[in-house]
Amino acid sequence: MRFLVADDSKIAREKMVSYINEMGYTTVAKASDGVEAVELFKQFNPDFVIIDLEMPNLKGIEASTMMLEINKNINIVLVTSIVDKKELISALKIGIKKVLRKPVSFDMFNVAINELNDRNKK
Amino acid sequence: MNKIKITFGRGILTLITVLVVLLASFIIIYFYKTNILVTYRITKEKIDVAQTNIAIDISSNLNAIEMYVAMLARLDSNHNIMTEKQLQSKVMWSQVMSNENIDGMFIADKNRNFLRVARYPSFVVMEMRDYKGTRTQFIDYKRKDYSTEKTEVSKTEYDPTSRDWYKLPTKSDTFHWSEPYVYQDGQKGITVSYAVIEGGDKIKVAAADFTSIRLSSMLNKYAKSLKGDLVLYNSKGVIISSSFLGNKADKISDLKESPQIINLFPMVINSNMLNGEVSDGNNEDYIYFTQSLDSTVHKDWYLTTCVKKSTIYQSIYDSVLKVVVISLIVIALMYLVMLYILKRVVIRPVIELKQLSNNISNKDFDKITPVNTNFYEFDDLAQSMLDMSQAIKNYQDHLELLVEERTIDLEKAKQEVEELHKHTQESIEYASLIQHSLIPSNDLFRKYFSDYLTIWHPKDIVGGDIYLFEELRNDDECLLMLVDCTGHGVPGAFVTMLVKAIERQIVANILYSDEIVSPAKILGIFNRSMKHLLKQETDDSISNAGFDGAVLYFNKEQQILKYAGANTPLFYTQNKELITIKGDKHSIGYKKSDMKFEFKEHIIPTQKGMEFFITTDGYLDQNGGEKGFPFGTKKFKNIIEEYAEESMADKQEVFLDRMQDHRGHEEQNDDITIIGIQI
Repeated sequence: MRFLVADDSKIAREKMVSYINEMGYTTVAKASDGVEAVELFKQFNPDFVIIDLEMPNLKGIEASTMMLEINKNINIVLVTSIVDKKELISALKIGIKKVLRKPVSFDMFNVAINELNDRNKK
Repeated sequence: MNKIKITFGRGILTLITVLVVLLASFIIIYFYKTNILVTYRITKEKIDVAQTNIAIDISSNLNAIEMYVAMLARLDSNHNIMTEKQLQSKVMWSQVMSNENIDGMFIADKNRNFLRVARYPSFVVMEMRDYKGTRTQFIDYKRKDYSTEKTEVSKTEYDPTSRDWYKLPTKSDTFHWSEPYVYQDGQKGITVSYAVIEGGDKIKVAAADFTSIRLSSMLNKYAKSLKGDLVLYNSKGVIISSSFLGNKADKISDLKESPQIINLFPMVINSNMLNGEVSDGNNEDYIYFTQSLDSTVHKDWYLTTCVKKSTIYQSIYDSVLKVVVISLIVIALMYLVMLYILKRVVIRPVIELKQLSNNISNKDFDKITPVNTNFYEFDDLAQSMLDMSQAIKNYQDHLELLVEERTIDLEKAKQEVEELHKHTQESIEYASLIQHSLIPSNDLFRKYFSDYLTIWHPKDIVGGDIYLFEELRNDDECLLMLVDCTGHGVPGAFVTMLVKAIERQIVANILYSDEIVSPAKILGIFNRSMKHLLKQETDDSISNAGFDGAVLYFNKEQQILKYAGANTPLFYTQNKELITIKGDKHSIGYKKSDMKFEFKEHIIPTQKGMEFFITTDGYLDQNGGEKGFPFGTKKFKNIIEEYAEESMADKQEVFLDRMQDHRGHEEQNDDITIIGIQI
């Protein structure tokens, strides 16, 4: 499995990368804002996108919308510290598969990715 | 301690068995012990008494013989044996026949006339001798009527006056007993003689013989009943008679087959120890009783009875054993009877009552039947249980009906509650949307600051923490407020709405005035407004709501930041140094809050790169760690300092991670809000 990680926090990015490595998967690209995330998505065509909601230049939801237009089946996992339900519902409506609230533990990450994998197999 | 449980029946049976066994054991032991002693004592007494009686018996016999002899001697006042021979012989014959201990009686005078009646094993003879000692008559009495006579004349001479029996009695009217000796016919016996002396002249002497064999038979009979040995002897140790049939010993010292008697003789004669214990020298012990014959003539005669102790004990054991066996049999029978009665009379009713109780507890009302026992109390108890079972049945029937009705009611109530809960939940969810709408968009922060972080985590769906961001009269000035209202959840959310309302009024006033914006004044307005609106100006108020918080006014153009805080500190970095301004220790709006309190305002000149942080106490007071302590201001400040060079996004990540690590599995205590801005 190939992952794209997008978060304006370097610490958050590295954390996600470590989780991906621990699960035995590969991080193909890392982005620090929404625009960069879309660009790298086009370039690397990953299987999974881990994207933060609050990012400069282009917010996570907007970036995700653009990615879904490119590949409607892409597995996008939105991570956010905000608990705005309205925004979260909007995210799920556009096609984001999972929303994880920060701080994200490895167990949370592992369960979410495995669920998406199982769903994909079906 | 675990209890040991047994059935009532077994318990009673066990108890009775134990009691019976104890009783039987006690009886056996007690009876055995006392009987050994008592029976031994009684046996000894018996032997003693028996011996005394034997001695009296023997003495009586001897006295009787003496009496016969005396009577014979005095029978003929003329002392003429020859003329009165028929009378005398008749008397002698009757005396001999009447006393089996007398073997013969005879009488002789100074003229050597001699008359004798003697008993042989199968006949009695009368013998007459004349002055020469020649037998002149010898009559064999086959029948007592003297009808058969056999006359024999013997020429053998016999001088009675030369015999000891005639010679030795020297005093008149006294008896002389000879030492035991062997008669002519070979029998061993004793002769007692009685002299008639008148004027110093021995007129005649009467005498009687008795063989010790007769006495021996008597002693032997007694010996068998006492299971011992009897010996009659004199002080010289000469045996007069004994229970040993066929014994040839003349003296005690010759009784080789009875060494115990040999051993005791010296004790009796020398030490006068008439009763005691003696050994035969072969580990066999005997008890002995000695009685001196009560007679002036026989006072140096002793009758000793010797019985083996082992014989006594054996008889005791036998009798005790008999009694014990009988006792045990009786006890066993009584026990079986008791068991039977107990089982029928007590245990069976208890079992029936137990069965009745089981049927009641299992609600097998159809199986319940009356119980009849032998006791009023059990029957009364059974009747009570029957009444109880009927009451239970009635109650159960009624209860089932009640339960059914109640279940329907409960079901209805449950649906109503669920409906209400759903409605409430929807309300709260909707309230959450409303509260979320109050939270400023992060875009506003981007407009005024180069970097920022916002962490807003209510404890529940809605919370008492809120932050407000307002643009003021131009693009240079803005107002940032952090508010921590009373409590959390719905009550806290209500207060935030009030705060928002007041804030709108304050901002409206600012927007339509030229006055200088003062965070301290704003806090004052909040304080007074809250107290007024919630009617908390006096202590009578029921409610007591308010908030802690901070107001920041930033003016980009003037490059100043103004701060006033109510129990909410401001942390900021300047030249890589972290500075803390604690704010006033005075809350906003509470009953105890002073309406006239003037908050202190701090004005900080700003420079690019300066970072400002405010947080509610939810973050700082969160419990966690090994000991469950609060996170603390120090750790909060450490994060700011440690990640001073990192972006606000990174700081935000660290704040969240460190809080999660600290909290672990602890529940979130309070609403958490942290705001960070970078100039």
